[in-house]
Amino acid sequence: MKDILIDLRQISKVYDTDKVPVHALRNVDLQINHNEYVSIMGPSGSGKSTLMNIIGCLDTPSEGSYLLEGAEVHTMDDNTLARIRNKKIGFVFQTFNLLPRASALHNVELPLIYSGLSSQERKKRAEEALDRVKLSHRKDHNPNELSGGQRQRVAIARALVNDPSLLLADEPTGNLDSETGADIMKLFDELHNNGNTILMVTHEEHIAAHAKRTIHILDGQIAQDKGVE
Amino acid sequence: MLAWLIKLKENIMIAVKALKQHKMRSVLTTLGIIIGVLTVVSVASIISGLNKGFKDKLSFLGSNTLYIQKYPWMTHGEWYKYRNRPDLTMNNYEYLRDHTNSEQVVIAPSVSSHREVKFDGNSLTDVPINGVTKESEIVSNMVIDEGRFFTNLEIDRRKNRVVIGYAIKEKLFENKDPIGIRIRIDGNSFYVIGVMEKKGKFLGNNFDINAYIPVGSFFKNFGYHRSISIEAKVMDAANLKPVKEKLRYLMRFARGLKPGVEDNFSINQQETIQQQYDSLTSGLYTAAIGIGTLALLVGGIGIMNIMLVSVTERQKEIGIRKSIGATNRIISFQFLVESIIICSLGGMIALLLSYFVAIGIQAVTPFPASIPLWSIFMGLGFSWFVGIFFGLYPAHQAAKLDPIESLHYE
Repeated sequence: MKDILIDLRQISKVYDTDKVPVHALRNVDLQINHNEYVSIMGPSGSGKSTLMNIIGCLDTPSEGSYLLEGAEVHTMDDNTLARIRNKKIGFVFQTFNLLPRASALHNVELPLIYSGLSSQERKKRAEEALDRVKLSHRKDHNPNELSGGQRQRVAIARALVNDPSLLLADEPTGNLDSETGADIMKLFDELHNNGNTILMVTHEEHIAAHAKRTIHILDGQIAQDKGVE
Repeated sequence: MLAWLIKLKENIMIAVKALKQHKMRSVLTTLGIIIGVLTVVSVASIISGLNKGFKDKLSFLGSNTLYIQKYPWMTHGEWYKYRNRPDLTMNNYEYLRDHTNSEQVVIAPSVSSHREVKFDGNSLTDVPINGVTKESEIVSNMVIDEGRFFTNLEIDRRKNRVVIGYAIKEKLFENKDPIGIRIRIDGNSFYVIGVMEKKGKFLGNNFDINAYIPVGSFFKNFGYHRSISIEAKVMDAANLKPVKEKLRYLMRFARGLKPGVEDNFSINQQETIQQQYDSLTSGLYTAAIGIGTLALLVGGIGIMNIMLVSVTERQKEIGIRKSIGATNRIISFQFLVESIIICSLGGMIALLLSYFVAIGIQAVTPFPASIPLWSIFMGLGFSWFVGIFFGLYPAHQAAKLDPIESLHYE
């Protein structure tokens, strides 16, 4: 199980704001293996979001190379990146980011639509994913009829539905009360035990503690990397 | 291919959902499209209705028939020039008849006057009474429904016999058999010997209110001093031009016109009316297409505007979709489909309205109206075109949105 999933080498990201270029990341080297459970911590403005966007293929680095399962992400165009996001990455956001006027089931089906699956196959797999987050009984409800915890479960089901190589969570408990947050973290732990690779951005110590490895980012650089297997 | 159909279906569903959410906005947006398509389709339906009626009814003039008359049909405002021309006479008619080959061209005089027709207490005023000869039957395509047409003897002896139009039979005789009955035309008594086949109405003219009497009887009863016209039916359409030239030569010769002197008569033909009609309708079409295009342009800009609003409103949704794998092309396709659907909706509303317009026109005006199939396709085609053309820019804007920024858009 030592095969490398994410391989970042000398990654830098520079934003050209009005006059001064902002160095969000400076020469970051990072390797993450399959089935790792990693948390990224850091104060706001440290560059952890930028790192996550690059790993999630939402953004491309200004310099350096990024291999995801051996594929050279740093050379890809927008459409190829979209396909990578669709097949290999599952996002879980702090604000859930569900489509408000679509049922839980439809929200979970969405990535499969972009993969071009037939509606029967979509329905089957979306129901399975909702089952994994124990929400099949709420599948026909719209997000506004669900509690915060339930919404995050729908989002997790959506992230899982395409069997991605990587689950990327950005402050997944940030909008939840502590009890619900604990439930969601339990779900992440289970997913990790089932073989999923999880990368989680958080600023809460007790959330980060669920991960087996914690990376601290400061001023666009990795300040500390604890628990590397 | 299948994957694209799946995505298309999803995009249509998204668009329909978005439209349902903003019903009022969607309908108002389509107003320009509705007006544009409605204008074009309505005018097309009126003109196609007119065409149908016109082509039918113009055939009573006969496309192979030349009309030798004092006045030209199309005068371009110089009618006074023609006032001093000599009247056409029966002598002119006889001269032309005697100097042409009846296998090539059949010639008949035509003269008419509006008179009162009476029978048994019923009366019809202002009935066109036409003086005819044996040849008129061929020249004017007269078809007898009941009874018979005049014999040569009746024509030569200037008998008071009459062939009546179908509507006269209906109105004067209340559909009783009129053959052999005596009626009064302007006080003179005539025997009915035949009834014409029904011809129908067009633009308020009823061709079935007409009566026909021998031309000699016409002059005897209503006076000799009047201008006639001479109708010449060319048996083979290919000969129309040479025959026309020959008749012109004969007329000039009969009137002793020297070379270089202008004709003091006119030889008219259906083509003249057809040309005038065609230029009128093509003018109408041009105007309709002009108005329609303008409305579609305004409508299209409205669509573009509302689509840009929609892109902004749904920026977050775009971010979400992109983050889970929607490509730029899929996103732009989504907005393009939405704009096409809005426009098709407008197009369909317009077609529905134009159907009612056509019914309305038929009900309140003498114009027949019918919606030609091509105008339906054209209307829908136009609205699709507008949807695509004015949807492209907003769709492109949506596609090039940055996924990270869009995700954080509130």
